[in-house]
Amino acid sequence: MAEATTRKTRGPVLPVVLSANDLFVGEVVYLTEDGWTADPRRALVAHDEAAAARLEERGVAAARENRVVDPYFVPVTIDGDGVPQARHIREAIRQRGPTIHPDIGKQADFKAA
Amino acid sequence: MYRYDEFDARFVRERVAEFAGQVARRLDGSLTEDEFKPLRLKNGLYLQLHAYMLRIAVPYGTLSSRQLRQLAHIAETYDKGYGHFTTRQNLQFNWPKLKDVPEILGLLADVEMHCIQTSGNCIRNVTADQFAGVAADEVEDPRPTAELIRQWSSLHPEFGWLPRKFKVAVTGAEHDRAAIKVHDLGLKLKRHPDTGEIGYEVVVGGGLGRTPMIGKVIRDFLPRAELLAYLEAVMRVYNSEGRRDNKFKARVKILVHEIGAEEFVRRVEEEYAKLDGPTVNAPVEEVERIAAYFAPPAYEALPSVSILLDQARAAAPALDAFVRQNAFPHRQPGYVALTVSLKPVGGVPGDMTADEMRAFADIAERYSFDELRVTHAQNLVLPHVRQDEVPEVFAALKAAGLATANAGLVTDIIACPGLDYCALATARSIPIAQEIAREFSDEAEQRDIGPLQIKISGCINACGHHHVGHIGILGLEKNGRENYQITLGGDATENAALGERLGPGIDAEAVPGAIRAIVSTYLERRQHGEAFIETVRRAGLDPFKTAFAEVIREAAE
Ligand code: SF4
Repeated sequence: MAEATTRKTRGPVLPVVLSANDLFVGEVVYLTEDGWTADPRRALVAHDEAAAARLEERGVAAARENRVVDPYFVPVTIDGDGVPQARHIREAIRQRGPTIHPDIGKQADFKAA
Repeated sequence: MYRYDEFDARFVRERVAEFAGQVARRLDGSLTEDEFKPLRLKNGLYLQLHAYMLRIAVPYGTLSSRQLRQLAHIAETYDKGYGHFTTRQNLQFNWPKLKDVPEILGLLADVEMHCIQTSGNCIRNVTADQFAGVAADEVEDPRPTAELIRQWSSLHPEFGWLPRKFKVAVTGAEHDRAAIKVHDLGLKLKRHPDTGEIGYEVVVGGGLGRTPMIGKVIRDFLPRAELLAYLEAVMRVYNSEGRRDNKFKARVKILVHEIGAEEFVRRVEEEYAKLDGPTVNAPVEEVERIAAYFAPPAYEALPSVSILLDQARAAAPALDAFVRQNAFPHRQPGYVALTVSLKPVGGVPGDMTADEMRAFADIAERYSFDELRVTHAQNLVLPHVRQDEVPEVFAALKAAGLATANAGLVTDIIACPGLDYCALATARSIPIAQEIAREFSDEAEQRDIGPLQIKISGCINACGHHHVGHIGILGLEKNGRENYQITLGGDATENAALGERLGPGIDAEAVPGAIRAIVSTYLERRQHGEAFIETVRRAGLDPFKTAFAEVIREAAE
């Protein structure tokens, strides 16, 4: 297994949330109104480019301040419960946890995720 | 078993202390991620899809019970209660926290373990035949060679930043269970046909990944004493001429391919002639010192056949099936090596829980001289079990949920972590393995099908060795969906071959049916006693392609 060198998106397909990994723990986190959360349901959704730019700015700052690693946009759709759901399968698995272990990861920690 | 000397122990402790300092500086912000990343990779720490991942070296796949218990302790205390054995005989933890890693490394050092050479552009942890020192078909135990290479390469000042990673495998047996032809460098211990002297066949330039290649023999016979100087020459040629301009062309296989095996040999021999062999080669005493650590355990003198086991097998079909499938002939009369499958139907190939590790450590301690092995097929081995005690061992394995009798069969599938864990993956591997195993869950049917290796990778990097699977499965992404390419005819042994594509990629749901169609084609065509791979070689790909096309046609309807 090798490791990805960079993870960048071009202009994001809106709407998006901003995700990263927590530096200390490694856990997948999402940017909210007031900081980072491990709970994908609480991610702040940017519906337009200006909002996305604000997310990105805060993400870059958090990486510079060594709170998170590799922040990047995750394109989402909003489901019937108003929860952002990642569009791409990779991000959907990242948002929930290993598909083979429903008892592990965010899918277990945050039931409705 | 190899025991660290003071020097090794100090070296590992120093590395732990050094990395602890680097982690502290990362956490307090003195190091940026860009600065820290190469440092953490040098210590086996990756950032994966969900979390950090720590890869722990299991040199040549040999572990003691004490070490496995420590891994269980780490799994429980610092991870989510399980670990994953890989195709490089390593163990990975999927959920360690960065802040805990120095402590974990300290616990590993307590049992002479570490994460050195599990990542980065260095000579990686050396792998070996899982039946090393045990196999009846072995010229010599390959582990002293593997350990010698470990010691030589760990601190080698020239080879800390190679163009790319460099993987070495060693076998001492006629039948290659270490896949030496698909490593950057493969060594096979052999006897000189005329003199009887022991030396090596040297194979270079094999590898899988995006450009799979079978290695070329660059020396038919290298006298044993010349090993390190010769390897030094190989590494020098690679280090100076391997392509650093393009990550995808930097492995030694590309160099060998681009300049040709003959020219590569010429350059190596030229370099070798310039080297002062005696100053590079290990002194005889050192080689002997290392070999002494791998001396066989204190076997008892036993008759070669165990009447007790024969009787127990006659009375218990499950035991009989287990022995038939998972037992491997031992060179010592009265003993046997047992493969312990980490592939129960519906399980995750290579995963082991902390409870299973503890139970297994107890079994190895009691019945196998405190020793166990990890195989590149993501299974474990009890290397020295008394035949008389096999019924007891089987009962204990069964109680621990570790008695699956499928070694080498269609459900003994290699699968990389894939998109369930891996940041580079394009598709999932594990659920595919699980669905195929369910499709063939009937044990009698598995036995009827016989030896058949299915290998699955979740991306082109090929950690699941799909190119050399009798049936290979490669997970890709197509239009935002997981899509699987099926190859046929690969082989990782001395008859190494790369599989060929059967047709276009298919959806995940179609994979078990496609494998079923391939297997049925084999069953229809096999001649008496012919194994799957033999039928494929004899009959060629066409009948299988036809069956595969039929599956695709039906799926499209
Ligand atoms: S083959 Fe690809 S998906 Fe599988 S472990 Fe290797 S890098 Fe990850």
